[in-house]
Amino acid sequence: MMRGLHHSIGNRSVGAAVMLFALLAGTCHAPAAEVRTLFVPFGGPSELGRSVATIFALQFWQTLRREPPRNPSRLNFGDGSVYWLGRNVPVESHQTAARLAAALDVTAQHVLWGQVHTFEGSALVTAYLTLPDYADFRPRRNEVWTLSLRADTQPLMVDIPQRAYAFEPIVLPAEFVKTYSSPSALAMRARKGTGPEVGRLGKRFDRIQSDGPYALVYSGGVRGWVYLPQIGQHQPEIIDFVAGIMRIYRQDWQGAIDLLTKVVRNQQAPTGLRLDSFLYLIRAKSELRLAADEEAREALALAPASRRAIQYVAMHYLGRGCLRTGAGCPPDATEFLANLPGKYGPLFADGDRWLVSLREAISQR
Amino acid sequence: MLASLVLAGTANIAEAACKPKPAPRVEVRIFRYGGVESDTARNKFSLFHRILVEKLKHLQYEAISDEVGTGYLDKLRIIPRDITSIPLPPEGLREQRTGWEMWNALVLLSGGLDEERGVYQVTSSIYWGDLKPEGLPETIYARMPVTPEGQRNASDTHSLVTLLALAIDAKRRECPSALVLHLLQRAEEKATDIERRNELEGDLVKVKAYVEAEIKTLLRQ
Repeated sequence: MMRGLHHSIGNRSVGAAVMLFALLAGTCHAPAAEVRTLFVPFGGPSELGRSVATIFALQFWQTLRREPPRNPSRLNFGDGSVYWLGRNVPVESHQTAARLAAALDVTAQHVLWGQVHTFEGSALVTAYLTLPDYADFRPRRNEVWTLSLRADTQPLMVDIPQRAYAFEPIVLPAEFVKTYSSPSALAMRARKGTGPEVGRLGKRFDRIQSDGPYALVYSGGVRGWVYLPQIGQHQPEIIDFVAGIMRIYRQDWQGAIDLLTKVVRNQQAPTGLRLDSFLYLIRAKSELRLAADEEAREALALAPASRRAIQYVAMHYLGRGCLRTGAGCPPDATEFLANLPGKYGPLFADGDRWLVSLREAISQR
Repeated sequence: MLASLVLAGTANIAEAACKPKPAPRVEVRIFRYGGVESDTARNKFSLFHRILVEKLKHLQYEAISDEVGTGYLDKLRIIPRDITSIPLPPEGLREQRTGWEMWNALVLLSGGLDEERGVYQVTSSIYWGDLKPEGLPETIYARMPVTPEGQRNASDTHSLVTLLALAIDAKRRECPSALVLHLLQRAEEKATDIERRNELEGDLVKVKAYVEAEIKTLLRQ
């Protein structure tokens, strides 16, 4: 039996959440359902993997928000939660991660897992993100982009860009390895950064509050502040990307733009990560009725043979009405859409439903 | 229930209509690397092997797409998986070719480990037989230190050649262009990442150029 701690903005238990999804499935105006990210202690020969995953989990938690800071439109993104797996479970593939996420007592939409490989003194962290595809009780999948062009035709639907990511491996210096390899490496202090040590963060903990690089937690019967160090130079892009995707799943479009813009600005981020960040930015901007011409150009330049990039750019232009009028669209948008089946047809399988629907839309314009 | 219906609407479950013969090449065969004799060297090779296997497993999952029919890649295997049972490599190009054909392998990995001023360096020979594009050798060599920094690039180098080999194999089996382009796009991303780290050199420059040219040809640009 898996044991885990569930940290939710709404403090809703897993069992209760499942019940709620079941009750809401038949309603017309279902509120946002809970979206969950599972953090698994990273594999490896020491407790270093646990420390690394704990730090990631707490840093990710700091990005969760139910509503924007200024909220004149009274937005509510529903519950987002971190599921911290309390014990070490060997996860060495995306398949295993996906199975773990789909377990009834977890039902997570994202899994961050990885390995720590130790060298003399230093270490290499390989981190992965899995976005499993299974019936997860949510009444709606906000991440699937759906666009209705006409009332009498099937809507165009595009799934998320990818379901498996490998982040840029992180090199950990010897000092970090030495400090964070023990089972109780993360000290809890009475005050942020200073004050007496009140305990050590155990395998189970509850988060209470966060402030910059510090998190106030409850563990082993005591409350204390834990310092969350930066894990190598690629850590920010990992948290920004995972948190950006969480915001897409929760329809926090502006919040996703804020985080994913940081990923695309980072020239050291892996190409796949930058590309899909551009695609998610296109989606988020489209939902907010903002132009994403620059993102569209960047995505097509970065990945000329990406079917998903072509689809996301097309969905953006279609949503802006570029197929019919071209007003307010970039000069080449109408031509891009009209020529898409011919120019990019080889990227699609025979009978691809999305391409068939697009062809119909072009013929009916 | 509703969620699964929504997703069903987005997925195009395609069985790629490739020629039934020859069978797809889905075996990555690893052979013993030379110079792995001392305990230190064994540990270093074990580390290199572990990261390589981990990255190839990621590549496999990443490359599988129901929408273009790459489901057959669930059969992609690293042989052997257990480091203790890695066999000696075939000696010489002729034996490599014979083995590559006999096993219907995708690529054969062998190489050596040596120490240079206290730092272990691994040289990988990636043999891809007839899958090699014109103008490229039958064996691609990649040399990298067994350090955290060196291993960051090692996996992308092996992934790049493996993905291109898969794309060329798919093309030979006359698979649909969507499938071939899907694999080429993945290869292109790996090549760009190696280039970003200023490690794209030697034959890898030609590999990247080939991938880009193939994409253009298939998209008729």
